[in-house]
This record gives sequence, C-alpha cells and structure tokens, in this order.
Amino acid sequence: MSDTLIEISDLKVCFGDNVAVDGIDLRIKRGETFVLLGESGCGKSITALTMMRLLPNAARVKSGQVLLDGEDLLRLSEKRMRQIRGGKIGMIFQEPQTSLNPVMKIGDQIAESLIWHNKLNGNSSRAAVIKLLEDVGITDPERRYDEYPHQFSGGMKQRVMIAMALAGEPELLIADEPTTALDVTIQAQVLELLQTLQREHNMAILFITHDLGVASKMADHVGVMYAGKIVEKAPRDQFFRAPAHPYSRTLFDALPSRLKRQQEEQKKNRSASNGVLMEVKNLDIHFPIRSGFFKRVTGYVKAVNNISLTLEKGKTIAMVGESGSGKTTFGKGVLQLVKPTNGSVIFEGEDLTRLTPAQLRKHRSDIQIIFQDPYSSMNPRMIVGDIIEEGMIAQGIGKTRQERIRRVEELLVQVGLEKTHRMRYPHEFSGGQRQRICIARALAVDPKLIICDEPTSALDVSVQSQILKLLKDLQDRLDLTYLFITHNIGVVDYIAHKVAVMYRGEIVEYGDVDQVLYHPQHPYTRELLSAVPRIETSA
Amino acid sequence: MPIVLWTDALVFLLLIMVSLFVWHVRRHEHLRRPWRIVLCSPIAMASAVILLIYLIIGLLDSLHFHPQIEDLNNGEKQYSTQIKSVFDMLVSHLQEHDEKTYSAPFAAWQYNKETIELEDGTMIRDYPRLRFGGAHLRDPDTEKIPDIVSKVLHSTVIWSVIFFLFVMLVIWRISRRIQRSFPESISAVARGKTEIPWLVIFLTAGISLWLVIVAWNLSHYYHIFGTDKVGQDVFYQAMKSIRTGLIIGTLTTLVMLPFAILMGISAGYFRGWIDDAIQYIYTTLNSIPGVLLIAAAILMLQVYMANHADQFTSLAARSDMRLLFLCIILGVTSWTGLCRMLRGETMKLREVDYIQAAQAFGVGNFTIIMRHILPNVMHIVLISVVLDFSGLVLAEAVLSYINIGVDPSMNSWGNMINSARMEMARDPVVWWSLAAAFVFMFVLVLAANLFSDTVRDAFDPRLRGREE
Repeated sequence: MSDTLIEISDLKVCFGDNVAVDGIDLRIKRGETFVLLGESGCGKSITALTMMRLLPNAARVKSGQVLLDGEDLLRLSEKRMRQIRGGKIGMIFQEPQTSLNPVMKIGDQIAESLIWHNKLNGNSSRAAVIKLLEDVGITDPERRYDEYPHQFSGGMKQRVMIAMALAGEPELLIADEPTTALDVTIQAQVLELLQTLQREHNMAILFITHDLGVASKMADHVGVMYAGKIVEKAPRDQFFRAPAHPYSRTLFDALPSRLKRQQEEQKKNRSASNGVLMEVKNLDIHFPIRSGFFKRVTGYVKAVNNISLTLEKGKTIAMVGESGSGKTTFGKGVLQLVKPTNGSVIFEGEDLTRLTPAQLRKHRSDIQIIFQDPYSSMNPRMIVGDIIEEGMIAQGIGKTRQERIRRVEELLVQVGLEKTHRMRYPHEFSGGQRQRICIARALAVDPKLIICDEPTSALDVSVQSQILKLLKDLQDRLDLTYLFITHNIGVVDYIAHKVAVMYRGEIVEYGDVDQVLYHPQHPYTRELLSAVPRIETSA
Repeated sequence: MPIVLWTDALVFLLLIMVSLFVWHVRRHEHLRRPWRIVLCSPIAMASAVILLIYLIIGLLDSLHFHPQIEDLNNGEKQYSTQIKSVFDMLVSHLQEHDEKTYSAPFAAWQYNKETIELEDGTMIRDYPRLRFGGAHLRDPDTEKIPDIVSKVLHSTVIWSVIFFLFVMLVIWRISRRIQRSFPESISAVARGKTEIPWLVIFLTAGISLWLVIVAWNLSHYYHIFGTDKVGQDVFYQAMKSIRTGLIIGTLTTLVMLPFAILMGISAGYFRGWIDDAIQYIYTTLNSIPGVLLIAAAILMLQVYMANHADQFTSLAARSDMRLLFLCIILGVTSWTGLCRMLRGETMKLREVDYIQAAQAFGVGNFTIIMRHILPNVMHIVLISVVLDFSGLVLAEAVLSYINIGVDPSMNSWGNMINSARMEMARDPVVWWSLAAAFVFMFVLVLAANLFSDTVRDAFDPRLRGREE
C-alpha cells in the first residue's frame, strides 16, 4: 500500500459553459487532514461532490481523474461506486438539520448504512450502532438509539451525521463545512471529536471550510481555492507563517481584528464620550407558551430576561452570544417590533414602550435595523430606488419626488454604489452590494441608532471586511450609534467599543472591549472565548 | 337597440381588468419574465390560439341587442322584445334552418319516419327529406359525397388565400419588430428558429381557421352536427354554449377573488382573533356540501323570480340572472381553497426581513399589504385562477346535468348532455348532441389545462431555478 490515499489530477468540471472546477491537482495521504479553503462559489463543494460522484445533473466532468488506491472513481460502474460511497469515502454536510430523515429513528438511520456495508443483521447492528454513538460522544446511547432527529440539538445531529459517515469505516472522510451552522462552543467540540476519531481510525480527512481559524486548528496541509483553481498548496505551518499567493494574503488581511483596528485608528482620534442616547432598563421579553383546548397560557419562554444597558452616542455596543441566546429578540424589542413584556426603553428621554402606535411611528426614523440575510431583506419585486425611498415616504422626509430621488442617489454614492443602481432590481446585485443597499435604506431616514443584526455573517470574509469598514466610516462621519449583534469575536474586536455577552436571555458580562475580550470574568465568557478557533502560527 | 345584460357587463369589466393587468405586466420586467416563458412554450401558445378562438366567439355572443323589426306603416322604428347577439347575426342561417325533429349529421332525410302524402294523393310512411339539410341536392344518395368534397375544396382555396395573407402580414410585423429583412424572417419562422414559437402558432391557427371556414361553408347546406328533438341545429347550440362555459369559468373567479384575497391576507397578516374568525368561516363553509348549497340557492332564486315576474322582461334576462347567480354561488363555495393558501403564504411572508424593515420605518399596515404582500402572493392567485377555470367549466356541466345549473332554456353543454340522457336511451340512438357537447367542451378544457400547466410551471418559484 502506498502512502497516498487519493489523488486528483487535472480535474475539470463545467456547468454548461461555466467552468466550476478548472484543472485542480491534489493529493491526500493516509491519516492526514487536507483543508480546502476558499470563499463561496470557488468550487470547493463541487470538488467534493465530484469525488463522491454525486454531481448535479447539469454538471459535466470535462477531464481529469480521481484515483483512490489507484482506482479511477470517475470510471467506475455505479454499482461499485455505491460500495465506495459510505464504504471507503464517508461524507458529512453543512446542514445537519436537513441531512437526517425526520420520521426515522436515529439508530435505524445509522444502522441502514451499517447493514449495507458490513452485512450485519438486526441485533449485532444495534450493538454496533450504540458503539458508534458512544464513539461520537453521545451520552446514554442505549436510550438515544430510539429517539428521533427533532429530539437532538444541532451539535448532536452533526455528531449523528459523523457516526453515520463512520459506519462504513471509511478511509477518507469528506467534511463539507461541517461546523458552519453551529455555535462556536459546539464547533470546538465537533472539531475536537473529528481529530480524536481521525487518530483512532487513522482516517484521512478532506476538510472544506471558509474559516481560517478552523483551518488552522484542523489542517496538516492547506489548499486555497479561488475561481475553480487551487492557487496555493502548502503544509499548515508554512501557510500560516507566510502565505505565498497574493489571494491567500488578502484572505488574512480581510480578517477583522484588533491589530487592524489599531492601524486604522492611529490616523484619527477616537471621539470622547458625548452623552447617553438610549437607556434600556430591566427589559423582559417573554413569549407565552399556549396549549390545551382554549389556548391557555401554560408557561413562558424567557427570551430576554431583565436586561439593562446604556448606549452612548457615537459608540458601538456589541451583543455577543450563541444562537438562541436572545440577541436578535433583544434587538427587535428595542425597535418595538416585538412588544416587551416588562421594562422600559428610554430613547432621548422618551419611553418607547409607553408610546401609542401613532406616536411610535414618528420615532421610527430614529432607530433602524440592518438584517443578516441580504437576500430576504429586500422585496424582490421593487427597484432599489423604491426600496430606499419607502422609509422616506413613511416618515415624510423629502417634500417632492425629485428631492427624494436626489437623496436616494446621494445615499447610494455614500455606501459605495452608483447613482444608476437606483433603477435596478435587488437580484442583480451580489450579497455584499445588497447589504450596502440595506445600509442605504436604513440611513435614508437619518437614524441615530442602527441595530445591526449579524450584518456580515452571511458574507465572505473579504466582503465582510469591506462592509465593516463602511459601517465604521459612516459612524465617524454621521455620528451613528450601533447596537451590533454578532457571534463573531473577531468582528467584535474590530468594531465594538463595549461588549455585552448574552447567555440564555441574560447579560452575563458587560464592559469595555479590552476588558471583556482579554480579561473575561464570567465563566461563560471564558468558555466562549476559548472555543473561538484562533490562527496560531506554531503548531 | 343594444342592451347590456348583467353578465355582459361583468364580462366586459373583466376584460378591462385583464387589459389593465397586461398593461401593468408589460411595464415591469420582473412580471414580464415568467410570461415570456409562457410565450416561448409551443404547447402553451397552441392552446392560447384555441382559447382565443373560443374567446372571440364568446365575446361576440356577449354583444346583445334588440333586433329591429322591419318597417311599420308610419315609418317609426320598432324593436323586437327578443334579445339577439352579434354572433347570432353572423350565423343567422343556423338559427333559421330549423327542421321538424332529429336528423343525423350531414343527413338529407329526417331521422324518424313520417306519413307523407305523395303527389298522386297516396299516403306512405317513409323518411321525409329535410327542409334545409342537403335540400339543394336532387339525389342525395349519389350527389352528397361529391358535393361535400367539392365544398371542402372550395373552402380550402378560400382558406389558403386568407391564411397566406394573414401569415405574411404577421411575419411582416415580426420582421419589423426584430429588425431583420422579410425573407430572413420567413426562413427563421419556417425553421422554428424564432424565440416565440411562431411556426406552432401558425400551424394551430391554420388548422383552426380551416375548420372554421369549412364548417361555416358546409353549415349553409347541411347540419354538420345534426339537429335535436325540435329540429334545432346542434352545431349552433354547441357554439352558443361557449359563452355560457366561459362565463362560468371566469365570472366565478371574479366573485371569488375579493373574498379569497381579502380574507386570506388579513388572516395571515393580522393573526389573532381575525385569523380565528376567518378560519372558522371557511371551515364552516367547507363542511357544507357544495352541491346542497348551490341547489338551495338556485331554488331560492327561482322562487324569487316567480314572485317578481315583472322585473324580468324577457326569457334571456331570466336565464341571464340565473347564470349570474350560479356564478356567484359557485364563487362563494369555492374561495376557501385559495384563501387557505394565501393565509399560509402571508404568514410566511410577514416574518420576512423586508416586511420587518418596513414596519421599522413605520409604514402602515395597509401599505405593507398592498406594496409588499399582495405582489408577492400574486403568482399563487394567478396559478389558482388558471387552474380553476377548467374545473368550473366542468362543474357547470355536472350541475346542469342534475338540473341545478343554468336555466334549461339557455344553451349550455351541461343542458345538451342532460337532454342526451333521453336520446341515448331511445332506439335508434341519437348520439350527436352528446358528441358535439363533448368535443367542444373537451377542446376547451384540454387547451385550458395545457395552458395553465405552463403558467404554473413558469410562476412556480420552486421550478424557477431551472432556467436561471
């Protein structure tokens, strides 16, 4: 047996006339982890699917070969290929929620692939599945065998997916962004698990990710993909010490971090504190749980529990927390899109929670929001100009249509787009450009506070850095205040002045960035920070 | 003297609304895109040509007037109380060519034996010659087939001239539109290289036009679908039924849409007690058997009309009112499905970010519904309207068959099928009424179904990924 497990040479995959993968070569040795790094649309997932021969119908392999132990996978019969899939190569996907059949027991789903590949029968397969569940760190596997996917959390589901992939004892595990949908603390656990399993089973892993931090934690070798080509291949240490290709370097430069912020801030003086803009006092948002015949309220989900917070003018407060911690609900509560149960939101001396809808409408222009998903945040049937104009009409800004159009054009230029973009539809823009339009829309009504709800987490790193920079510039120019909701610690470090860490609807720690990020007090904050994959240059 | 019946008014209102909609769609690129897929689909365009022919007949049949009775001695104009349509005028020969009773398609003799008095005074029992069908022939047995063939050939010559001119005119328009020379356009159309499948359109239009001209020509000399019990031309009845079918299929939608859209969107958008109330309404309505409700409503109307006979001056006005009422009651019983779909879609949409953003701007609820929700559920409305059409045409046939449909005096396919019940039971069988109703209805429903399939595919967001 040779040292090389799988070797791809000169692989070209096309969708019609579009080249998705443009002649890549790579080699993975037994027991090592090869990380394929790249931004969305660069062809990394297509490469993985080609190896599994699971390409969508529209795609065609133009040339090249994929040798697994000297056998060309692209020329095998479908029957033989079925033995390879799950047998020699296992695969786990990004979305554990949709990869499991919701009406089948977890154990039976794993057993399916065991029975197929190892020719096991009922009883022995149950024992084998329980062993697997134990291996992937699921407690009480006997009981959990008979449970259904909805009874598992996201991280647990991903563990189940890993167990399924391991069932056929593969020599190569393809992991396509396996932790992107997970929280950082869960991500750290899953990555840890993958490394342990790799050692135990001596598997090779092809790990696909866009996250440099994750890559740095997992990789033995790194390949950087850009526009269908592998532009750089290097051992881990060499790559993270000195990336050779210019594109790799831009990836590093795009990472938001303290260092970058300090470089930028040397040029200008940080404005001193200039008064309180908004005060949130003892805010509770509870959602009633209704059940029974007359929909009686049987309990409450305490999404936001007794939060007090002071926002200073011209500053950025970051709300950090994992999914389900109530950050977004808090943002909507401040905005009065969700009615708070208790507490007050005092904005420039007026309590927003006590206003009538008509009075509130007048204050709407002061607080605006930017959403996470740039695709669903604009009505696809309206042109950009009308989208931006909508708020101005509702708030009575700009007397005539000409005046408003002029303002729309100004705003577009302000966020780095062109005046002519006014006449286009949202689908003609990329994710980053859409987010710029959303910013322009929020700015249209001259807000004092903007709630940024994970505005960059759906974007690639290089685009993310541009948007963050734009937000910062706008803050300096227009004296805006941001309530920045995010789970990305790097972003916090780059943009925030103050940080509030949320955990299960409560703020567990609050303070200046330096203090919270570098001298965390609360155990949860410490756990959160330690889970963040950091780029370490020495192994 | 023109007269506008209730259904006529509503049909033309609907026509204006559709024209406005088309005008609106043409101005918006994102609305035009799915329609372009429909325009480029050969099956859809072939069906559209057929539908258009039905539509033209239906519309001509909706222009009603009181015909003028010739001259009176003092020169004053006098109008008949009868109501006729423009279409009746065009095919007046069909209406006037009444026989005594049944006759088979293209027959020259009656279908039943009768006692005939010969010239010499003897009485024999035989099949008498028809008054109009094949009356120009001296010896139908030998002359009929050559006569029909020659008339078909004659019509074909006329057809080829008209059709050639029509095709050339259209191609000339196309060549202007795509800015290419005339011969180039011809070859592009002939090889099927145009974006819109003109070749298919011309083929369908050509075949339909040929059928129309041949039928028109032959109908002057023969009863091409035979005659019914009282000697009326079945071909004429089948064509008059087109209007009834189209009205049931379209006006019902007009009645249903306001209910469905208003209730569906408000239930989904406002939630809470409004949602509960609307849900209770439609679940209650859904649990009453539709046929029962329709029967009750129609019987009520009949009682009303019997008690207020003075309000309904003519037979046509009576049957028109009953048709309208049938549309309304069908609409009332059939809005629940669309309403439920719209409620679900609106509930999904109201959580979408752009609607939250609009709320954050303080945009009013009504504006949000009109600007953000309605346009984004319009594709569902459109798909269900087009899909419902053929179902409603068939529903009319079923309801008339059990006598709770349109007025028995009104021409409709359902009534034709209903009367065919007796005809099928007699011996020898009279099959042509049923066959004519079946053919006309089948072609309309098939064309509508094929067309709506394409429309659904073009508007379904799940399938939209394929061509982008």
